[in-house]
Amino acid sequence: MRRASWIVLTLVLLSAAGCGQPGGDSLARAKRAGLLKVGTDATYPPFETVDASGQVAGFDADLLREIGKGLGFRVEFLVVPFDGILAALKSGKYDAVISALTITDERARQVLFSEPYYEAGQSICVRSDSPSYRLGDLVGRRIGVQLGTTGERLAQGVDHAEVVSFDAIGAAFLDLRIGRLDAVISDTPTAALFARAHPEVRLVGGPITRESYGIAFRLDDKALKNAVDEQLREMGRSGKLLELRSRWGLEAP
Amino acid sequence: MSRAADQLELFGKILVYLLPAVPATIRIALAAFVLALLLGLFVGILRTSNRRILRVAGAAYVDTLRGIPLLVQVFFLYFGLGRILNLDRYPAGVLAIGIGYSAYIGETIRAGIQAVPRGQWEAARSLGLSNVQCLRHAILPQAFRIVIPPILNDFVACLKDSSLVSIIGLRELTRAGREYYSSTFSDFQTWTVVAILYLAMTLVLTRLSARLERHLHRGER
Amino acid sequence: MVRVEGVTKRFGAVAAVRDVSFHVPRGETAVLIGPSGSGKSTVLRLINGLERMDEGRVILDGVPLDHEGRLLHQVRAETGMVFQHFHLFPHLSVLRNITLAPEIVRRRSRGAVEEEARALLARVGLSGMADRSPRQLSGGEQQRVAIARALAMRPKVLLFDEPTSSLDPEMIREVLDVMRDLAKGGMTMVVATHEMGFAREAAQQVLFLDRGEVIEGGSPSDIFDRPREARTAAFLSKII
Repeated sequence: MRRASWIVLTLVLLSAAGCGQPGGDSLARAKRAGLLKVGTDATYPPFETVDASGQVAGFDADLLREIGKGLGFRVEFLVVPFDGILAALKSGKYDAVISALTITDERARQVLFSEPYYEAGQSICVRSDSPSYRLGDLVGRRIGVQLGTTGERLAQGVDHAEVVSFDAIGAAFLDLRIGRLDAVISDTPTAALFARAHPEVRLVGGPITRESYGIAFRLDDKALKNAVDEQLREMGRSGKLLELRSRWGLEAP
Repeated sequence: MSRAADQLELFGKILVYLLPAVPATIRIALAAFVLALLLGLFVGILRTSNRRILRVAGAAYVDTLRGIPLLVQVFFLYFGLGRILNLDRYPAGVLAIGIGYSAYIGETIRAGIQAVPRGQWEAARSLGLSNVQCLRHAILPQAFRIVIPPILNDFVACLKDSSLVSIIGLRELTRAGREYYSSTFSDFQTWTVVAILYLAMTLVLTRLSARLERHLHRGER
Repeated sequence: MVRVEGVTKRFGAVAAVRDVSFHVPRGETAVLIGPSGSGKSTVLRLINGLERMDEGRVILDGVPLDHEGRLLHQVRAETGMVFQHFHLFPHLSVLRNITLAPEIVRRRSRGAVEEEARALLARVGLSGMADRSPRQLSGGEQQRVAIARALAMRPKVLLFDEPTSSLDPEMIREVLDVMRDLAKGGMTMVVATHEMGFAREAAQQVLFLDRGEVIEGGSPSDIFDRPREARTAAFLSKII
């Protein structure tokens, strides 16, 4: 009996090695169906949250809906936790990801990115009664981040820091407010929004890194990427991008 | 063929990364479960009391805890109650899982106590034992034998549910798995190793349970 | 020793025991007979405090028993009960079954209690069984252990609720022998049973109950040979 279960297990593992991905042309499919499925981690205002009526709302959401309008399809958002968001893209749960996703070399090996649509950076947030920690000051301190983000990567680079990773960044801010963390590292617009809403925490200075957000697609989905890039350029020319930024309280670049 | 070798090497890497998280998982689950046992014993006795008010209190406790998702309890205990009581992450997580599971353990123990034949109560009472003495010397030892298998089942469940503490930032096996694949994208392989590790832990427990059951029922016809 | 006065117990609308009164002097044995459902068990359990009476009193050795009080278990220590299904503690050895209550209720030392327990085992004919588990004993042996267990508390009265009804016929004798010796030795006993032979040999008093009431009571020969009530005669004719 035990031997049989080992054989089954091995077969499962070997078949996993050959796990395939959906091939082909998402753009054509989306145009035909009038619908594109997009993954997002809607816990990150002002880029994406879930509003009172249960809809995904935010800069990213509006941006992609506009792009969809230009290309002739609706957008359906699937809300997933950030750390698995690209894995699910690769396995075909949806055809694109927009989620304040920083373009990195490592990620670019796994997915195809659109042109950058937003220039951002990471910021440090502390309690209002704490000193203004810079990154170097966080040696040996407790830093809150979201699992799987560039902010987490940054925090892990700090000597002897205790990095506490949360599923959603909101929990990290909460932990900071109750004094269990010394700082939170997250994208600047999100940190700014949170600091505005809660006077017990404040931003320390400006962004400490420079990052670009991109929309992610599967590696072979070139047609979709090109179409989206075209839309982004058009929206830049027409001023639509600026309009969206001001709608969501994001400064002009 | 080298594909298979690559895969095995990857599994090895994942295993090396994840193994240190296993003791953390066991520690959390064990601490929580010991708490659950102590509370659950108390709850089980409440539920089988002669006094109606005690029974009702016990029922309210069980219904409340079983009616709220464990995840919510973890969150609430750390960010809500934990603020007032100044609880750190680890004690809050252990407390939340422990209290949450005490409801299930309480029910198991209640069933165990009720499974002891009424005649045992009557014989013990007729000898002049107080209720507490009846429980301690006559009833609970018998109930104990009855509840060991279901309690071990509850521990297996607790072990799996211990992953919920990651929501307040505690690091355990499931969280370690997510860390690994979020940076390496080898999600399927990572999850396979995580599953195998959980399985290894729970299989040890179920084997132990079977052995304990056989030992306890030695000599019975 | 035991005086039952006007005792009534209702379960819902039904009176299981209705206005029952009798008196068992010290050192005597009373036997309760009657069809099932007649209330024999309930009467015993009312004396013991396992049930609470709705009306009436039970007086033990001059002291009215307070079945309402929180010290009910102390009351129960004065009365011993032997059950139809023995109810030995299966997780304890025979010896421990006997020594448990005296040790923790009367707070006596383990040594003294064990010595007495072994003597009791000898008295019921089971020396050498001290370390066995109840599971290893026959029904008759278990019941004798149960008797020894009850005796270990030195009760003022010993109650028996159909002690031989669950036993195979060949084991009934050994238990009745023990009971008869106890009766002859001066133990105050109240026994609910169908064993007429025992009643004739050991009892000073036989009470016939039917549907919760005492129909008739008297010496064994009065009841068995010269029943006054028709119901008594009818019952006896069925079981003899």
